[in-house]
Amino acid sequence: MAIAHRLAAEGAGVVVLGADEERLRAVEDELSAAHGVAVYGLAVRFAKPKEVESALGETMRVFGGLDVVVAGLHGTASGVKGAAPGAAGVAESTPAVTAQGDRRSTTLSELEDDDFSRAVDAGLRPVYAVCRRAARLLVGRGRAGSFVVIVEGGAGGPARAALDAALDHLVKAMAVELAPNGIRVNGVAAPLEAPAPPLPPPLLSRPTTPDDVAAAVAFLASDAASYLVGTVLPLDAGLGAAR
Amino acid sequence: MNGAFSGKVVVVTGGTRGIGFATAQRFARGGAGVVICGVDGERLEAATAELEGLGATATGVRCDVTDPAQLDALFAETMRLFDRLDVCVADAGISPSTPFAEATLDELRHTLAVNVEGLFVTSQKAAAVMRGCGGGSIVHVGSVSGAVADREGASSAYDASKGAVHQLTRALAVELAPARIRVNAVAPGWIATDMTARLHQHPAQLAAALAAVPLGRTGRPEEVAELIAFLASDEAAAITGAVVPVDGGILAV
Repeated sequence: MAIAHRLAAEGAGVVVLGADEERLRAVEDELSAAHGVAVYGLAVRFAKPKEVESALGETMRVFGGLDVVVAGLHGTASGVKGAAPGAAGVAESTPAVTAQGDRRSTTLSELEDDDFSRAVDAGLRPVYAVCRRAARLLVGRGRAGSFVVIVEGGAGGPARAALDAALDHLVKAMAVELAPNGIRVNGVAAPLEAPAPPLPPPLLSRPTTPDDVAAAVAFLASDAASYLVGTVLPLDAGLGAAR
Repeated sequence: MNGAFSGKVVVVTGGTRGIGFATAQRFARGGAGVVICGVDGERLEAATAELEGLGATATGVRCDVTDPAQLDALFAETMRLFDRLDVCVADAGISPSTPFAEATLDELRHTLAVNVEGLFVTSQKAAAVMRGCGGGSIVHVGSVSGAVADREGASSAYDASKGAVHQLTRALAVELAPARIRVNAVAPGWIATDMTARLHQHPAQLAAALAAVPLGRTGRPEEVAELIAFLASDEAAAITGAVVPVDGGILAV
């Protein structure tokens, strides 16, 4: 949500993709009231590629373009710069919370096989689905763009660790493939919960906030980051630099 | 982020040319007071005048980063003029290119003296001043050559020096975090500057180098400056100890 707010505040038209129709209406109202830009919430089941495809196609039809795609656990959105021609997009992926609660941080001994599959379905597939279809749309029209993938980073059980590694490599692989088409792909690693032992505390005493994530996304999505390709910014308050 | 640095004071070593100068210009446009240093007096004067032309309060101090006394004078002058220091960009560096078999010990020592010792002492003195200002942000200019070895433009000494810069970045981030000083590095790939000009004179070498860049082009100093400005700003308050590639995708391959 902070990401959508930030992109809208910078003048982007914003499309939020999500599963929860009621929440999407609330997001539309809040964002358009706060920033006076065009905001649309489109209901999408990320497990249905056709729905993702038509939502992104709809985005391009309404705004006449697609400049930015943000995809990840903390929300997926797309944006179009300068709301007139061109739209930004943000897609909101379903949070990786199953009926039994969030199992991604569960230990190996407690993790059920289905938990792992659910984590992949909720955390990895939506990012892949959105980026793949957005790339196809942009490349097909010869348009440049910028994708930002939100990786969680930090502590967690094996399911979350595997997801993070997968997203990190997905960023790099997509970045290398799409760079010749003028589509930059980068990431933000944003652990939003305090690390637990055996991880030491982060170096900085302030916690990473959704606004920090939004600021990093806005930078990566902008022309200021025009030579950044396949970079994942660690918003981990120094956790990854020290032991 | 324009205007994001108004009231802030920024020191840029190696700020008279290339990435350093582009960085000084970026901060000047953002409203910062800027102090640049370099070893070439004429170049220093011209660069300072250009910064002033942007409407910035800018000063050029002649300073060789291999001499700690001159760095003392640089920061003393900064405090005398501005009475604060918010950001220090350690960019001063050299890039010799001698095949390993022919490289001399003197060349290695000189490279390490500028790229590592100079950056070490620059950061140390900047941090001492920042402690008195309640914190700050230090940005090192590393290189993709600090992470992977270049196939073009053999330079074992340069590669080793930039590897040291990256690890210094992490070590200083640990030690300076309690003082509310963030320390990060940028790792530029092939950027079109004087330093890489020799590459541009050899089309075959340039083509080979660019073949490893997914974006298919060299970067501009301004593109590195934008990342440095982001890392130095409050927008990156959650980032420390990071070495961030700005390389057109070289390290993603």
